Amino acid sequence: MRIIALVCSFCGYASADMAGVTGQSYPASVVPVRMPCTGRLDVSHILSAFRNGADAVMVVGCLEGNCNYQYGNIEARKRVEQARGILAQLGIDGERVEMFNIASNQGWRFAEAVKEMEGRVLRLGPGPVRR
Amino acid sequence: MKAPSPTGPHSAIEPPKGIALFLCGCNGKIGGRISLDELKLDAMNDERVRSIDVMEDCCRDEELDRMRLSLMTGEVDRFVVAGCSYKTSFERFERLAIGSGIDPSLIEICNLNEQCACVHEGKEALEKARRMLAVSIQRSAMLQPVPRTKIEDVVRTMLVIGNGHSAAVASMGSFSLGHDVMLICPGGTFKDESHGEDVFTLEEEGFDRFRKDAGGRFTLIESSELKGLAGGPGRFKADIATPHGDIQTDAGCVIVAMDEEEAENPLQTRFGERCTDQHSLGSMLRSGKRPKGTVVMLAMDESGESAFDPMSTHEAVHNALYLKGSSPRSDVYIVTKEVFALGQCEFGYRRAQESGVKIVRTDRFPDLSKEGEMAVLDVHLGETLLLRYDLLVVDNVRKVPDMKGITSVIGLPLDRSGRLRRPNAKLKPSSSLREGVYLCGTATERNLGIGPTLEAKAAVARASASLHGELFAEGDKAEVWQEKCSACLTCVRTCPYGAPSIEEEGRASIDVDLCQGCGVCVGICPSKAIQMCSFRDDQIQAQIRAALGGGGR
Ligand code: SF4
Ligand code: SF4
Repeated sequence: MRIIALVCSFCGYASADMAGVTGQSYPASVVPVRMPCTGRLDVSHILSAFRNGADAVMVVGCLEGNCNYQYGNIEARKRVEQARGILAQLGIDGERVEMFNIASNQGWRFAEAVKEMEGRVLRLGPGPVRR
Repeated sequence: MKAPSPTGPHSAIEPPKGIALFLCGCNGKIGGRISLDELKLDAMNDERVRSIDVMEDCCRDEELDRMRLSLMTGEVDRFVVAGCSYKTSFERFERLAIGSGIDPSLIEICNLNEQCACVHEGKEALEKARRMLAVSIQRSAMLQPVPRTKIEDVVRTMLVIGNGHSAAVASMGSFSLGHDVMLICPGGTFKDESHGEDVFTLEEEGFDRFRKDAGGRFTLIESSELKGLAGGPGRFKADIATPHGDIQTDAGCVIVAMDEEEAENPLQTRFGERCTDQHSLGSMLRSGKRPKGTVVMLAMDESGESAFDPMSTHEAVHNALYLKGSSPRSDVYIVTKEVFALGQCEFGYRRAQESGVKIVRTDRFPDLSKEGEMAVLDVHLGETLLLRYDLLVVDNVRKVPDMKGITSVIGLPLDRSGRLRRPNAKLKPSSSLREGVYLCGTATERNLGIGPTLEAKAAVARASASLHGELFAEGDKAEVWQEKCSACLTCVRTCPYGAPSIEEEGRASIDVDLCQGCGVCVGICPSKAIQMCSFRDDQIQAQIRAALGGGGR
């Protein structure tokens, strides 16, 4: 299984660190790719992940209202929605991409989020390229 | 369409000279769980990687020396460290890079500790580590130097904007750290209202002494207003409108230290004669007078909510202690919903109880319909107490000053109550949205709970540290490729910092002093005309491909 986590450099990255420090376990199928802020997200990043064999994409930013850059994470949520629209036209289930807002000290929520995405892939089957 | 500009985020990516890879065992934390030799074998097949060192523990000085040797061979121009979180290790490797003649923007850190070895085991851990390392090597290979210019003649003057205690503390603190200080006070004269703080500080007369000591190195301009603020840390240019005309001044950092202003407590007018507020009681006590009879302090507002701000409980505790101390037989009550005891006030609170100040906890506003009498429900006893008082002392109420002018000039947001918003109370408590501008004072959202004095000192410490040593205008900023821009204004509308604007030629351009490098505009520009050096679309996509096992290239 292949899950891409597009994490922001603040809470997204730090919550993954915290998950490690506090010994949470979560599926090893996820590989993080760091961005300055989830606001940097471009719909094309999500699409190219699927084109290259991802089963799911998760975007992890700070809690709403606590974005290091004010509202980058809210912009990101909009773009995740946009990507879902395009995926739907391509016959790819929109549930394969999700926006998560996690605080830097909520390691357990990062672990939960990865498990959630893995659960979805198990339910929906492998991603579009690997089917 | 012209070819990409030769430098900056839109230029063609030059292939790297060579990558040095350091695989850190993190003292067994990584090495004990993931086979670094396997990772080394993978990397040896990548012709971009010129040297590979497997280390015990990169944190040790002798290991840093070893890394320096590998970096100074002339074969590499960048490096990847596979070790712990970049949050903890970046600064160390930044120093290493600078000391080894490597551009610090060409460092990549692959977090195999917290994000891999800590959570996964066995084959799974190795497989994930391989993919993470592939992402990092790919990223490293595509990094471009981020433009970085040294600021000559760094200005170290602190510009403090404030109206009271916090501004005084910020000015004194800045001066004691060796900065010249200019304090501008919007709206009227400057008052140092240190009362309410004396529970744990003894700075009452400090300000006048400071003014004498500082002499010409401290300038106070009253009734003035900030009209413009250009530039960045170490080279701000502030336009100030003063009663004697407009002036322009240079500043290294700006500290916004606005305090709430005094206002009338509506309760006081209701109870008239027998009622006073904590400040007036405080000055009465200091002047040697004592109130007669029983004193009841009501530390809540009319809706039964506890003190208007934590500082009022300080004042209540402090005044009660003072009263008890000078006339031990007097009866003193504090009626409150909860006691906020910050810092040494905790100590004062305990002493107050020991010396016989009675603290009544209640959950609602007491019945005060009879003059000289208060019927209050004590939640601990579960009974209504009847307190006869000779003097009722209420909190001092404060109101948020109007800061719209200052904030729109600097580019800071206000919250709904008109207070300055803190962008990130947890990670960067004294910072504001604008680089080089620091916040303190009670007119700031979500007080840090350490009291205004310490908050002001914290802001000064951060501001002063940021001006220490050499200063660079750096950081990954967004840049518009103007040939592609269709002047749609999307970036202008979306940027949280107001950095993009449309130039005379009808193309967008981004003010590097204002841009914080969040990338929001990069992702949203419909013409794909904006990029950042280290987070270009092609870089991110190549990393995603590498993560999925495909070749990045
Ligand atoms: S969003 Fe892009 S196209 Fe629109 S004005 Fe800004 S740079 Fe130009
Ligand atoms: S990167 Fe962020 S701060 Fe810079 S111009 Fe774009 S939106 Fe504004």
